[in-house]
Amino acid sequence: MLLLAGSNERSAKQDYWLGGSTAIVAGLVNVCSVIAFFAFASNVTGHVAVLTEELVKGHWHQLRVVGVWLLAFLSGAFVAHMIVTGVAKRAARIARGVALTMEIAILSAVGYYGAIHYSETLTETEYLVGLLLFGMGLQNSLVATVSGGVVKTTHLTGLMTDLGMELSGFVQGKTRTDRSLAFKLKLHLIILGTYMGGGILGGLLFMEVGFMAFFAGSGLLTLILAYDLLGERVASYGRRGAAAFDGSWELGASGASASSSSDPDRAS
Amino acid sequence: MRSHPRPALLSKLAPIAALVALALVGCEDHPEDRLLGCWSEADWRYERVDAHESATMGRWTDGIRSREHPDRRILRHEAERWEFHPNRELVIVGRDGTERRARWRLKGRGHVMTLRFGDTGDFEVYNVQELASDRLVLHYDVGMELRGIARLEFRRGRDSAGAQACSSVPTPARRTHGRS
Repeated sequence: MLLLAGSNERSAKQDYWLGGSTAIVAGLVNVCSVIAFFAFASNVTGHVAVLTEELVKGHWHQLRVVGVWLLAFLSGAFVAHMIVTGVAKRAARIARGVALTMEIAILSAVGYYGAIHYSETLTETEYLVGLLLFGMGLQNSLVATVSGGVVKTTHLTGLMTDLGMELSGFVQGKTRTDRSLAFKLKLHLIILGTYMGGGILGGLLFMEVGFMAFFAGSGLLTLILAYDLLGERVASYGRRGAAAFDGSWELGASGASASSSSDPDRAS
Repeated sequence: MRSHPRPALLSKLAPIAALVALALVGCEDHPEDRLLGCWSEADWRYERVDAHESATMGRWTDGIRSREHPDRRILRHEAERWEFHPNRELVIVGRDGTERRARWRLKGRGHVMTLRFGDTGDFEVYNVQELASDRLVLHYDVGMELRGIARLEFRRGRDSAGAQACSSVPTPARRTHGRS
């Protein structure tokens, strides 16, 4: 089960796992950023509102900083999408791995710099927040691209809106007949819950180990990457072994093929 | 007359270019540079305080005390002078000449100021509402139990005694970026 499989090969279970695991990272990073830098790492709506506020007040330095932060998030989303969609299909998995590796490197760099070199100057703060926003844009774009726009882990305003509508459908009993609605409701509840869990984890970790908490985020992403690169291979070996054992190699191969077919639950 | 279509690339890049221009607009000096020097407290008051409580607030003008820790003053106010040094040390000089030292930091986009006092270990967080060349306005959230925000306004070197005493504090123009 590839978490970063392409959108037309995905199952609902893959979306649950991808959304949940990356939402933990998003929540963790955002809370750590607020505690360390007094600035959100993924609240783009808030940053746009602040941008206009600073413009009205004529605070040019703050305007410039927030503008660069928004550009950083935009650039991250742009880069991830370019990497994932701009390469040959046979290298798609590597491309997704590259994007994820970039985010792992960013979180590790922030954790390392914060723990060893950070002297709490405003300039450092501005650059580090910008770097985190770039990483969050990268992550959000990556998961949104591979899931066909179904999973977005830092976009909680949209998620809450969707959740409200889906809960309305649930109350009206539509989830019993509409599998797609039931899938989205479950997915969004998972993302919301894991995001909050990640935030709590990030807050507790930062209080205990400071900037090393960012390594928890990069560690989790490394697990996702390793699972994506190696997990399927290990599973494939397992299937081959089982098939060789009972002499039904072709059956194992067809089973693998069936497991990667598109999931009707995801169809909107 | 036929109008020439806009080049596709330019129209695609226009929003990005606008954001870049917005990000680079202005060349105001850095907030940390602007903060350096000596500031004399010119005014302070509570904002968003319940009307029936404002009378009792008058008794607390020598400092706000936490209800949870009544023996511990969480915000001093004694017509103080605040001296921001380049090595990120803040010296708060009271009217009676007493001094308190803290480490100052600007966080976020320069809209938050944190103070960590060396003597007590207290950690205070202020919102920087205004930081002009000669005027500094800070908001201090005194907590849910008081339902109010203390607004502190400073003027640069307006107090004659303060200006004289602050002569040793480096001005923004003479600042060298110190790391601590």
